Amino acid sequence: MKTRIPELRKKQKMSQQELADAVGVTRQTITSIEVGRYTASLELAYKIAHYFGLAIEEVFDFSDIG
Amino acid sequence: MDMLFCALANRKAQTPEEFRRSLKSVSHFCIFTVQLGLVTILFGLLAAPRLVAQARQGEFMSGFYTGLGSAVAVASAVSWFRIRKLLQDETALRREYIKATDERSRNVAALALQAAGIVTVIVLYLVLLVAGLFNPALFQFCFVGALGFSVLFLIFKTYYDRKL
Repeated sequence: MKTRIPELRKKQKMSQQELADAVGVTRQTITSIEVGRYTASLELAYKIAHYFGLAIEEVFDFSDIG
Repeated sequence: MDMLFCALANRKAQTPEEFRRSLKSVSHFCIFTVQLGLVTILFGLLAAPRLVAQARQGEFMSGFYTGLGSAVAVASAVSWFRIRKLLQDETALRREYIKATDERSRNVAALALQAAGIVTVIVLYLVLLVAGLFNPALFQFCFVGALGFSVLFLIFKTYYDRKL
């Protein structure tokens, strides 16, 4: 699943570790989500979107689903 | 051993404070496993050579129990010290909590356990097929092992099916 997380992080000059600490996961999880190897759970997706102040659909690309 | 203890601490911890309380319980459990390791060493040194009929087999089992007991005691002691150090450092404790509850790590562990289980059953089955021709004891061990694993899998699958 594609995401806008790298772009959103760069806008806020934030590292992967800082985002990971903010949403309560490891840096490896954020890396895996960004490269599309791992699909975040609904809870984690919500936490990430909420952290950036956006809706889930604005952070994650669901066009592959359904 | 560390992974086992973290899995025990992590089981129901929803917050860092619950995780702290779980770790304290696990540190007490470590004291028990250190004692278990020491008892195993004593058993290996004193009892195993007398209980096993053949002298060579007795020596092997004595060495095996002693080594196993030493490993359990040392690993438990190291885990105990590590947990005590974690409980004194809030930042390290929070990092450990995140590592333990990270959803991707949990998924990885679940997939690894699943793969290990499948490979174990396949290996037991293959060994069972060959052992049946040469070694009745090994055949029975593999048969009980494969059957026991399958039964346990069905029991836990039914349990979690109803629970979730």
